[in-house]
Amino acid sequence: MEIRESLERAFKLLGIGENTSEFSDEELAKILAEKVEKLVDELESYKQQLEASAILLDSHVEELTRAYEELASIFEIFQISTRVDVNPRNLIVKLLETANNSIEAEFAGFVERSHEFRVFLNAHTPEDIAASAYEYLKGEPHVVIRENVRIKATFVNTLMMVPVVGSKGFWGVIIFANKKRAPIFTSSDRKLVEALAQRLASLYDTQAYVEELLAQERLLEEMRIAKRIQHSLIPKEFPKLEYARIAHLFETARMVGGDFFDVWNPPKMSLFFAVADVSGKGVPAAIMMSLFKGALRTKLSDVTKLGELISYLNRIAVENMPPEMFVTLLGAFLTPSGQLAVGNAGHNPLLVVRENRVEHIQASAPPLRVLEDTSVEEVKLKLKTGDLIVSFTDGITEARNEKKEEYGMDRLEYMLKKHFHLEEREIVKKIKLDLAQFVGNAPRHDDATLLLIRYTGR
Amino acid sequence: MSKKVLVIDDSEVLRKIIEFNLKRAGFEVVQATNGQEGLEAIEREKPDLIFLDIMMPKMDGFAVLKKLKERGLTDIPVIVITAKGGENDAAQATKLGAVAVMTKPFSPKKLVEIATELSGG
Repeated sequence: MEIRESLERAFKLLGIGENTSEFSDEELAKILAEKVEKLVDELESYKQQLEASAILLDSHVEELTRAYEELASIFEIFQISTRVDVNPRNLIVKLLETANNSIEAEFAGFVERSHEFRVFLNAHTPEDIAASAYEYLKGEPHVVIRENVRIKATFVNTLMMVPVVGSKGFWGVIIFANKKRAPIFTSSDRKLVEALAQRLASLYDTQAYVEELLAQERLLEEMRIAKRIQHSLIPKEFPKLEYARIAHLFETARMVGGDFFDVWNPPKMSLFFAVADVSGKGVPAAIMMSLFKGALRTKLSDVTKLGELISYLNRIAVENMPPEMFVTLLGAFLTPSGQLAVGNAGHNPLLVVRENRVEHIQASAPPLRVLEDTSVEEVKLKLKTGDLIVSFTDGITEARNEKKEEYGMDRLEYMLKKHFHLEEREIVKKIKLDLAQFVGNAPRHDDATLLLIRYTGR
Repeated sequence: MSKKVLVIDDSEVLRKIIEFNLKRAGFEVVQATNGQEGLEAIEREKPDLIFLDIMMPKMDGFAVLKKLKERGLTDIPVIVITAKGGENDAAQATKLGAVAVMTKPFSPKKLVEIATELSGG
């Protein structure tokens, strides 16, 4: 009876049916056995499904872990590459290590296109792998992903090469490789290396940009030095004389054009003045100027003849200046009695301005340094009280406006005649203003010098 | 015996990643989803190591660190997890007794290395 009850309870529990009275004990037992067998089968299948989904879940988390690892790498790459260090070479090892953390590769390296620098994380990287990077760098930048390749004597299981290309150039190649059997490089591996390459490229770009700026800065500094030298050579004040009044205009171009002038009244001698233009610009021109000024002042104490002085300066020029350079120079002595002696070596004419009339004293010799030996003919003339003598450089007459027109000799002469009666510094001021108005916003490429002396008589 | 690690973080995905990687490295992992649960879990589970997220609703990581100090539970090493750019968070957490700071997103590999080193395993 107990068995019957148990069978009936199991029958109902398993949901086979409600009515058990129509079955015998044996029949009930048989139905139950069949049902149990079926349930066990189902259970087994459920269990298998459950295990499969657990595996699926694990592999999802594993995938997630990889993605997270990659994300961390990319963040770190960004962090490393935004450090203050301008030299990308100092950051490459750290960057490669970070990427290698997420990407399975025996060999990770970077080869610069300049061939001046390369780095591989693994010290035992086969030379053939490095050689393949150099070969790659000869071509156009592109991504290479390959399996089972033979590079010379080395068999490589997986290979990935990603170019480092920035806005300022093709800088190099990042290479990841496995000799041993390894999973193929995935598209996310590629993305990570491309991100790394991008950062590296921008580091190289930045470095190139900074170097350009530094070069500019060096040039500016050189210009500042040249300008300092140039200004140190110009007389700070003019000698006070009863028979002459002196005024000047001296405007230097950004690049230092090579102008210089001197006015000196050595004891017991006539007033001496010189205006010169050294070809070339910047520091070389400035150095030549200082050489000339030194030579001029030294020699001036023991010569009285301009021809002798200019021959000496020519020798100095030949001995010290590179052959492509030369100097135009106008030198003159003026005595208290109004005797003017002029020597002109390839320079603009000296203008002698008298009431409504301008005389030119032209060059009588080529510029200094042009000939091994040069002799200049000394031109002498007697000034009258009130006469103006004007020496200038081509920075005045060849100054150009925005239409590329030159200021010209005629305009200079016109200004000198027009303002002849003004005080000397006022005349210079007028010319300076007129020149500035003429040039307007056009850039000045050359220094402009004008020396004006009025003979006021004894 | 494997070391027991408690992960206190409100992000389920992050808990999963941490759990998966720690378990694979042989740790026993217990989890809590906020500061309050975390404190209870510390008392109950007596973990060898704690990973503690700072930014959490209800009770944040700082509050958990303070409570641990109050209760004298300072011998369990706590590794704090902060968000990117939270340098101040890191400094404050260290002041409150955290032994290490990990910035999100962190490398799961490094997480296991840190856990191994700090649990003395």
